[in-house]
Amino acid sequence: MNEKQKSNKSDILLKLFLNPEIGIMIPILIVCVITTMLKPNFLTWKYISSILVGSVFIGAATLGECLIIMSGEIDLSVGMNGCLAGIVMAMAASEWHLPLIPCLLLCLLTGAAVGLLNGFCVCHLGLSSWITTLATQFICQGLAVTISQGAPISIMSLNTGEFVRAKPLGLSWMFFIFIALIILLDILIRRTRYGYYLRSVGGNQDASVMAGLNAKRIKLIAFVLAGVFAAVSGMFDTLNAGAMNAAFGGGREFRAIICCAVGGISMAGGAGSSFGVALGVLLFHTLWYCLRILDVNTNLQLVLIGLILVMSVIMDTQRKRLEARKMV
Amino acid sequence: MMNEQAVKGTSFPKLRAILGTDEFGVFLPLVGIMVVTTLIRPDFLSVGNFSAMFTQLTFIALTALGASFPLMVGQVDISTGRVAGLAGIIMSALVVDGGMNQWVAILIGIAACLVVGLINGILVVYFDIPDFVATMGTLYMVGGARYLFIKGYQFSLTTQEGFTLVAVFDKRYLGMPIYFWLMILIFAFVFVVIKKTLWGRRLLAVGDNREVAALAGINTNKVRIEAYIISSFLSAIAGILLTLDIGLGLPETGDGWEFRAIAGCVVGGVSLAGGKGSPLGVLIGVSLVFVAENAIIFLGCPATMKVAVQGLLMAGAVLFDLYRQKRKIPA
Repeated sequence: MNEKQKSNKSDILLKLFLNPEIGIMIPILIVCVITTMLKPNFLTWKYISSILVGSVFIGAATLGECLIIMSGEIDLSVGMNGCLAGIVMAMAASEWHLPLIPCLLLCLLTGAAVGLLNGFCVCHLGLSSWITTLATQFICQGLAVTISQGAPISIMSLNTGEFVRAKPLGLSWMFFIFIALIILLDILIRRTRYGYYLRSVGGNQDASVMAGLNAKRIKLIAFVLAGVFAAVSGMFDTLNAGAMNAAFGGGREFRAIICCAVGGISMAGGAGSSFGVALGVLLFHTLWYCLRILDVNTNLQLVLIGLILVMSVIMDTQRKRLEARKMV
Repeated sequence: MMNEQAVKGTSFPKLRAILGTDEFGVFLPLVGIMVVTTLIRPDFLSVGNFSAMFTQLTFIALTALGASFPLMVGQVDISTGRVAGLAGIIMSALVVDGGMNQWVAILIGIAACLVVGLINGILVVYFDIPDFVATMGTLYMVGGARYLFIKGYQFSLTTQEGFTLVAVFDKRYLGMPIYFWLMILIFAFVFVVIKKTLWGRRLLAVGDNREVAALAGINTNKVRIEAYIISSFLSAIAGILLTLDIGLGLPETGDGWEFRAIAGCVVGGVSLAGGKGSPLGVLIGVSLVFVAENAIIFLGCPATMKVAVQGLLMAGAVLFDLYRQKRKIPA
């Protein structure tokens, strides 16, 4: 009797461990508790809202990245793609004097075009994804610096200041757009046929091709969507700063990949959820924010981030092993 | 591969054997770029320009040689640049801050990097973490760790007593600094190891097809870990050489080297699928990247396009490699 209860209890713990979404909640709580202990006024709305608002920039890029990782590839161009898209948007506003909507569309189109290029190279030319997206990262960076001449480009003419400064519910409009994107992505991944196909291609490409899926097209769409999400993150940057600089977005691809890994997206492809990614972004951003509040050495922060990445991926592989053992 | 060797064995059509090698495939565009640029801007082919280019190239070339080892076994290591920086900063911190003997400091710097390589290898091989993500983790850790050594003042090696190496590095032998010749020596040594020893054959066999190699009795895990350790070792040497050259321990040494190194490897015919690559190809590949970057500036492109050219070169090189592999399979 006693033993049975015990095994039941460990079963529940195991289930909690196996659930990636709950697995991330624990470290988020730990980070918050430690920070609150060291800095008692941390748990005030001022800090919490600024964490939530600040997470949208990396968050939008991460949503795109997670689609790519789910399909079993990797995208290193999201940071610079977003930067280029933001630069194009700012150019459209300041040099070509276009109104707001065409500027935003141009921004998204730029991102989609880079995504399409990535997808074409990976799916149709058969290049490996990281080398392709590394190449497009370089190309985007070169173009962004060349177009902007290294100087920030203002978007004053768009009059977006009010939109950015507005604080609905104490947060920002961009935050709510981000929430909407998360929900949309969740619907796409879990409720549509495309999401199902995407995960099956990521899980086992050969098997899904044999089952009659057009893996090339599915991946191509994922790359284009990732490009659009990257452009959204660049757009957020541009709107928020009121200008775009080619220095924005550097290294964002790495942080996006870390957020995905922390958020339970399996690096081997095929598994993950949009809410998990959102939590991963939240954890990463909370941690980064807390380290800054606690005045931890910036370089020690990098070390910690690297450690967390490795730990979370090790957790993921261990989780898979446990799952496999349970199935047997 | 067998075919080429058979041709070489008869020693009759030697020229054709050379023309058929992968290295020659990289050499051709290198010469092409140089000829075109020289035709448009004759001062491109000056001695000063080339010696400047090739002295800069030494460090990236050594890092690329290191990075080519994991690539040859079918893995990737993106932590190489930061590892180079780590070696340099540890060495200079020990000498300037700890007053240590220069040679001991160099050895400790290299040893620290060997540990990083070992960690990379263990994470990839035993924890089964995708190589890209695992080495990204060490990239962050090592990248941050480099800055933990700085003390708010410069680690200047030139004013250090008993530190004779910087003076040696300032001198030129046969028109080039000593580290350039050292690099050539290391490349020659690695070339012999890869092409002529059993160990080199094993390395390429593991990269070509891991299952077959394991069935043939090769300890593939050991070979893969060794590849990561060598990658860190050669990067550490590159970092230390740069630190000795500038005579200053800078924590930001090595930022961004990893991708230029991989670009050089890829352009130089190291297949990303593993199992193919040669040190000579890597050297030519890195030269090609540097010459191309230099050439576009001579041709009047904005210098800001340098990165973009690097990206284009890399994509082009991989495409070319794929095309060549497809052509080889039916034969």
